[in-house]
Amino acid sequence: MTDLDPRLEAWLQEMRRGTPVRPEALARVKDAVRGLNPRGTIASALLRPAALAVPASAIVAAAVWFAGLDPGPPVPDEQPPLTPAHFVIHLPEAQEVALVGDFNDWDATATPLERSDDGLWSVLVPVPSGSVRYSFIVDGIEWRSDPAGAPAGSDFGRPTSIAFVAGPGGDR
Amino acid sequence: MRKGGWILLVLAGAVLGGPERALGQEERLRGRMAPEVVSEVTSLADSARARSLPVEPVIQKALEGASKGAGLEEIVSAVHSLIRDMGLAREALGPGLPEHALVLAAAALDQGASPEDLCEFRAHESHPSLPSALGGLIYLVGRGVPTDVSVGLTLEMLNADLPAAAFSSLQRLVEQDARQGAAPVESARVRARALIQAGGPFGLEGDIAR
Repeated sequence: MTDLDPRLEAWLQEMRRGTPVRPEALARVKDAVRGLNPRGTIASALLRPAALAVPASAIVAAAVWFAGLDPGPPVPDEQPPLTPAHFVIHLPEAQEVALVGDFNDWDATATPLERSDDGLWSVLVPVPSGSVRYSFIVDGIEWRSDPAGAPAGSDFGRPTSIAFVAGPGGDR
Repeated sequence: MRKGGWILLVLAGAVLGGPERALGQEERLRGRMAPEVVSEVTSLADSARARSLPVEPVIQKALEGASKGAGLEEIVSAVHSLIRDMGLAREALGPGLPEHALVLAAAALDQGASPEDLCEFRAHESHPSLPSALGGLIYLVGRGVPTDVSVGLTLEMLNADLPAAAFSSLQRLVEQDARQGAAPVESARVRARALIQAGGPFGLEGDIAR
């Protein structure tokens, strides 16, 4: 191995020693990672074929599922804590699907969904706990509400859904 | 630090943080809509702030309009309605209502509930399930269940002191029944009463609801 710059070597030694982490903080990070992993328990439970009783003829069947996540102590700027939410919609014919809502400034480029083999589109997004308004945009032009969500009218002539996202301590 | 010092620090943070947040909000609007729309929306956001109403929903409503290709008049009208509804919701449900519950109550008004309907929920102002109940109310009304029935059922569930999870269960169960062809109003009645009898969703849904 070549000789390293003494400053880099010192930095590496420091890194090897590790940074002391409180066990409760480590547990919170592990929980957060588990909750946000698309292959984790939330997603795998929802992506089971039996999880979505979708008739073959149905164009869409969607669900938003929320999982509680301890966000740690409140931040000083009073931002609500984030909770991972799983947005799912069944659109076998779609070429691309995007999610827009209060959590991404309604930016159609911010949150694309990923397609599974059978046309189930999904994305896991951290959203502020409380109420969330959202829509799906299909192939860049067609706005869709969530058939499994609560309709929130069609302000501006396009459908929107609304969901309540329970935060830590907000759901008994 | 002495107690007075902390209070001063908090007040300073509030004074300094307010305009900074407002500037950030204006910046987010600027890249997404015409300057005259930004100006109108900023002015409306300031009016909401002056009434101690939450501003972020106002910004989001304007961004929603921009994303949906709406023009100045449409965006201003929608933002104006939202601020009016949040004000009415606060009057109906009380000043101590958490922000997210206020936004849900405003959405319920937008869906067709009346301020008088919301007043019925005032006795539950501090109930931890109130936001979920309002979410349930919005869902039922949006699903075509008559407003008086929707209000009655969600109130019955709140009066039964059901947990918040019961309201999301109600939504899942009504959706499940609707997929089998049941009328949402009948499903909502049957399911709400069963949830009340069971004291919550636990042990009631089984595999069929998942």
